[in-house]
Amino acid sequence: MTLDVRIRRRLKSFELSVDTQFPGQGISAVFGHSGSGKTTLLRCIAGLDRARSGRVSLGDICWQDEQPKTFIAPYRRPVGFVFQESSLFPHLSVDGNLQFALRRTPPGSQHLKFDDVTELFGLRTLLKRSIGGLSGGERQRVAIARALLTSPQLLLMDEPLAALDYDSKQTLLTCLENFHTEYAVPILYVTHSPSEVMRLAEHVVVLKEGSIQAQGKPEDVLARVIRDSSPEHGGNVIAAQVKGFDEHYQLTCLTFSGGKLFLPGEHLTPGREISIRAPGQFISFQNSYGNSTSIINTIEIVVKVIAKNEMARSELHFNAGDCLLIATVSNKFIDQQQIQIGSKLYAQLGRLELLI
Amino acid sequence: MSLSLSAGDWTALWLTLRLAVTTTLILLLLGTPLAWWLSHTRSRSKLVIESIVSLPLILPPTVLGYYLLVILGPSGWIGRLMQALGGQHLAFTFTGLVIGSVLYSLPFMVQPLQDGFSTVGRRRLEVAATLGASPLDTFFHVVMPLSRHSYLTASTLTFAHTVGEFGIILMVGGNIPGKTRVLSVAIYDHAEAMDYVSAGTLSAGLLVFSFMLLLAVRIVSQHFESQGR
Repeated sequence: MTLDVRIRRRLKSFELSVDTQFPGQGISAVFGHSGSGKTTLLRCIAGLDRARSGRVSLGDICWQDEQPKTFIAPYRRPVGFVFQESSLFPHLSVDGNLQFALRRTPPGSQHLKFDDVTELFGLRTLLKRSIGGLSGGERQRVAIARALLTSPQLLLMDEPLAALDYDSKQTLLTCLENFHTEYAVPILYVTHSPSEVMRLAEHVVVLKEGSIQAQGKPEDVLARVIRDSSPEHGGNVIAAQVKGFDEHYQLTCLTFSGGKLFLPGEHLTPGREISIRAPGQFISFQNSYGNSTSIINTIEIVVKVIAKNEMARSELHFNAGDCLLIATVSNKFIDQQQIQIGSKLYAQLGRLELLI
Repeated sequence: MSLSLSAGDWTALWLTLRLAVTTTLILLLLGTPLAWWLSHTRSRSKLVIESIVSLPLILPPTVLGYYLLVILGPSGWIGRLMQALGGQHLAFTFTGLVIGSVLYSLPFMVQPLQDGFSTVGRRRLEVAATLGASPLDTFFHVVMPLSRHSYLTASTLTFAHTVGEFGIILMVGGNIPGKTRVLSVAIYDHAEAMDYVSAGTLSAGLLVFSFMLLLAVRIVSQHFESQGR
């Protein structure tokens, strides 16, 4: 079963034109900057916006088509939708909001049970509460649980974490991961955050001005896309695994395909897959492995591209393991050390940021 | 000042209440779809319809009353139609009063409802749709509960406005005891006849009634607000 989407719709300054298949299982991300058309794509799939022309179908069931002219109203589509802001009904309690969804789902097709879902999203103790008294994170958990209680065949999520603080994001991401492990409901997840894609998604579609720029496995697609768009914006993402925590130096030990890294602070569960970012302006290079530096993260790299970009400076694209990173260096360094494609160097990562 | 009312005044009071309740109920039924359409349409005719709905706010009641009298009376097209169907024309009848009141109080019902419906917002309707609620289901279980404040305001204003009507009633209904003689007309009658005691009793009654009604609405809406709408 796949979700087939072929739609065209005029947006303000460009046309949304998408023709692709999403896997009928797991979490697929739709990634792009704000205004790239990703929300409209999601709304067209739900039927909230009507694409000028096209076809949307999940497995054998067609929701919109040209020949014969078909358009299934949103409330008849077995789709759950989570909006960026939670949009709970303020006249109902938490329980009332959840029951609203449950009551509109025929008992025969209630695959997701009330008790299981409320347990999974930690809502047991909140059921009697009114919506006004909930925190942003709690609201969004209720909203996701509510969407799930319609037992949808597809869950659409439009930047569900964008409005939340760091801790609430972590809680929700864990909830989503747990849900994903236990249930087979496919999720289409719209986001502009590379770290959310890396953490959650098995498939990613990158949208740029309404068109698909790239699609495939996140680890293959994302680094390339981020590099192509703008290195400052959030590039240099490294997927790493937590190995342990050094109590003495208060460092989290990580491994990735290019070696070991140390992240200050951060108690993280060993074995967890995380994404970190090494901002290009904090990366420096040396010809040989020096021990006399205060920078604790030094890794071996291979130069892949030398791009002269402005006066007297060059962009160095290099591989650390199978990670592609970018940094800018002075041409003096390139000339003096005779750097060329294939040169082996040591990169000092002066700063690492935990993305997720 | 005596608080005892004459039999005629009791009849006028009863008629007034009947008129106000009937008008409010009819306007709830007519005003809801009209206000809904106005709050959601993108049609250009919206501006025209909105202006027509607001007309009674600035038009002298006698103007509206005059046109109604002409249309509903024995030579007006509705009056003739009624007679052709074996009935009688509607001038100087209770039905005529109800039609007049409905038109005259239309903006008092439609405008608060339209504001209320707009406040509910498109997003909540979309949420309801994605949860499997049909448009009608959404209206009854999301829009109406969220607009109860507006319904309360609209109904109260309509009711009170109908109770206080005078000009249009005199034009369309005349002053027939038991049929079209409502409180405001009765007060006018008493004052004309120099019966200031009866006029004063009725006036004070209406004053207190109106005040209590508005006070009750304030209290109830404060209660709604403290519940977070």
